Amino acid sequence: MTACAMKGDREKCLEAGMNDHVTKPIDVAGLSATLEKGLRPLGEDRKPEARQSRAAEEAREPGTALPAEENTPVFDHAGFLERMMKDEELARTVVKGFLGDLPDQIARLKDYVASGDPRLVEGQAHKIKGAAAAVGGEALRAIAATMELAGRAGDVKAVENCLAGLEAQFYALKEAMKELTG
Amino acid sequence: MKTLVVEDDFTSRLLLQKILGVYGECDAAVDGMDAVATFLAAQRTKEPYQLICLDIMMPEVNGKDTLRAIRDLENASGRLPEARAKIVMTTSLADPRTVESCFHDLCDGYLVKPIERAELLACLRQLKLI
Repeated sequence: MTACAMKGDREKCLEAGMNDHVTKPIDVAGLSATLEKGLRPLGEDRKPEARQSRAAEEAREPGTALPAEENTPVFDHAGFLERMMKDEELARTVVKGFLGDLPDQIARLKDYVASGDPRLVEGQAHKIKGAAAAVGGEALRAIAATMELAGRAGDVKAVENCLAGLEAQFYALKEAMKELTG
Repeated sequence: MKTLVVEDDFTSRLLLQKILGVYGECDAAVDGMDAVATFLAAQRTKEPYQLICLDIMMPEVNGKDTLRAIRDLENASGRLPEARAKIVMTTSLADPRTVESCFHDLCDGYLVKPIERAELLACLRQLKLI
């Protein structure tokens, strides 16, 4: 954005590596048109529906940045129950199994990170992602998906950096699931 | 309905077994090799599976190769096409249509994870399994 509106200023900006050029004072319609040209609308890869955002996540090129996940719920209790056709007993059984199994899966992921093999890391993160998704552990699923992509990109260090966050999300989920497990 | 669930993740496996166990015997295999061995054992005892739920992304032998192996074994045993097991692929892949076209000839359906019980049951009804 610049007050330099002389002929040739725009060309100079583009040449220097800018994606576009708007002059001040800002004209809202003109700015909107410029942004639409260069940016994907916010809704495009952050649809409210978790399934669609998941698809976008998995279609993303390895190594590229993931969208912020600060609005992802720890436990989508209602969504999970809905997927189980409101069968609370079934939901409780599956959640208990998940809570019992996941610490082993996290331990295995740590072992794989220590081994430095990105293929094993990717596979294990994928497994944790699937488990979390199955029980509506949305925040845990999101961080596991990030780790899976990092593993696929061969970046074991990035996965290692997420380990503490993964564990924190698991404990937060375990806490949130008490509303179901009692 | 005799079912085999092939899934490396414990939670997803438990979920499918709990849902499908209501309709009859439901066994589980944790990877592709395990699945083929379990499939063969059932075929040998003349109590084959009517339904196999098969995860696509598994380490070592993946779902796609397992699917092909099971169909080859069915063909080799002289099983008629209409008597072969119904195989439903489960996947968290981004584009289910790609999955469908990849496996079109060999599998009978696919489900995108996380599994929705109603969707799974609708699929089984469509395949006339329940």
